[in-house]
Amino acid sequence: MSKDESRLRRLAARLDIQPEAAFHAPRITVSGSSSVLVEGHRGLLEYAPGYVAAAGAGCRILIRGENLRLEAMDGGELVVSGRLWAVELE
Amino acid sequence: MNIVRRITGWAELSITGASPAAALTLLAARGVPFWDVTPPVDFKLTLKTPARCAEHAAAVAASSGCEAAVTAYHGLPALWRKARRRLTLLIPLAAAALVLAWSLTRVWEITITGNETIPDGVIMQALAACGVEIGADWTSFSPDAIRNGVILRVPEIRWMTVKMTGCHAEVIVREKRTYIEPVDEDELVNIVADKAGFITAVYAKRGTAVAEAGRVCLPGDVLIGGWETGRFYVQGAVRAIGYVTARTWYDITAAAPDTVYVKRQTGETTTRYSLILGKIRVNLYPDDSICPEGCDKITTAIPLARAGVFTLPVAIERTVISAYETEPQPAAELREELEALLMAELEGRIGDDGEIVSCEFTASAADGMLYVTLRAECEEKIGKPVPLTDGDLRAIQAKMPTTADNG
Repeated sequence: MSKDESRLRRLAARLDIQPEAAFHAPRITVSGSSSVLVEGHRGLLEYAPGYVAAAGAGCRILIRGENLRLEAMDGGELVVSGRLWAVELE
Repeated sequence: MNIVRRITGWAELSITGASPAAALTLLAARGVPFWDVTPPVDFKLTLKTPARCAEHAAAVAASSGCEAAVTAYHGLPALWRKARRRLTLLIPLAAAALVLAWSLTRVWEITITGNETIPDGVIMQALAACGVEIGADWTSFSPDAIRNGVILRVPEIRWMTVKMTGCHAEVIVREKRTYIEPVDEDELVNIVADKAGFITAVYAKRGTAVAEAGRVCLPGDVLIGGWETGRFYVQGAVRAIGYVTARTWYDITAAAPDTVYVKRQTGETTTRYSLILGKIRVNLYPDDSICPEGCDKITTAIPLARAGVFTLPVAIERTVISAYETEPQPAAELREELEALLMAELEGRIGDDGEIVSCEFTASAADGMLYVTLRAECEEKIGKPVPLTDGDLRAIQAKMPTTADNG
């Protein structure tokens, strides 16, 4: 994390601004164990029935599960459905 | 798949390459809508995209280094393109649409509501005479003309209207009311016994109680007289009001042949189907539709309709023919039936305010007949108002004091 970004994060924390709003950090919404919505992704990295990897701002989002399927995707959001096991951030 | 996508059409796009995910990222970044992406198998995946974007999507995906091709088009536009090439398919479709449009202007079902005493058949006949029948063009209906025509033909109808819902005509009827004749409160009457009995109570609200509890009365005996009695003399004629209860006895006999044949279903059934096209019936079985002897027929029509939305002149009629045998009814059952009939007759005679104190049945058979006799003791009101005759009035007048007596 650069010095400027660190300062910006401290400032955002003092101003009570959510990080995803200030730094375009991804927002991940999991609905039960069958659907996950990723907002603010930066592109799809890998796609297989067992996992889906997407790029986020400063991180990698890894969705693990069974029979995963990319339901829809556009420049900012993607929806993955199937039997979810884990959502990891790397 | 939602209805909008079906109408606007969609295409299937196949992407093959070392990194199909990169192609998806590029499509998303370029704003190409897509959905339903299958997981890659052998470096190949498929996705769906709107038909109008298909070629553009293929070009964008190809620019990511993958091979992309539109494999199929679906939805209404694709169907239309196919149908345009096959006129033989298009003509029956157009004919079906025309028939449907024509049939939607016709009446294919009529229901009548609101009639209590007038049979449906009478109203249907009057409606048919006014042009409302199966197959009639409902767009030409004039509600006023139909109402006037039907009321002229069936005078018992006070008001009616025809409500159209799709091809279903609902005929709403209001019958004329039969008013109960009002009681003339000024009429001078006696309360008279309408049956013989042993009097148990007398309540005279107006008039003079003639009957007394503990005495016997015969039909026609005056129970409460239509005159007021003062301390010393009769004051004048009045309308007698009150009631008299009495113990009554009934002896009613019912008879029936001691051998009555009843139906017993054998369990053997045959089902037949017919196609109803408007007023035409097409039997989907080889023999005629006359019910064979020794069979019952139950017919159920299943119309091609959705209640409240549309009705088409097509229906499937299902006829179930059940065979039966006749066999003598057991004597015990016959006796029970006769007893039930006798009990219903007794309850009708004593009315709602009567009460059965005790009853017994006896049965005997003679000359091929079974006789069941009901003997019952009841308690009921036995008085009925009977207008005073001129003779009664003269008799009352005679008992009244004259002016000289008063003086």
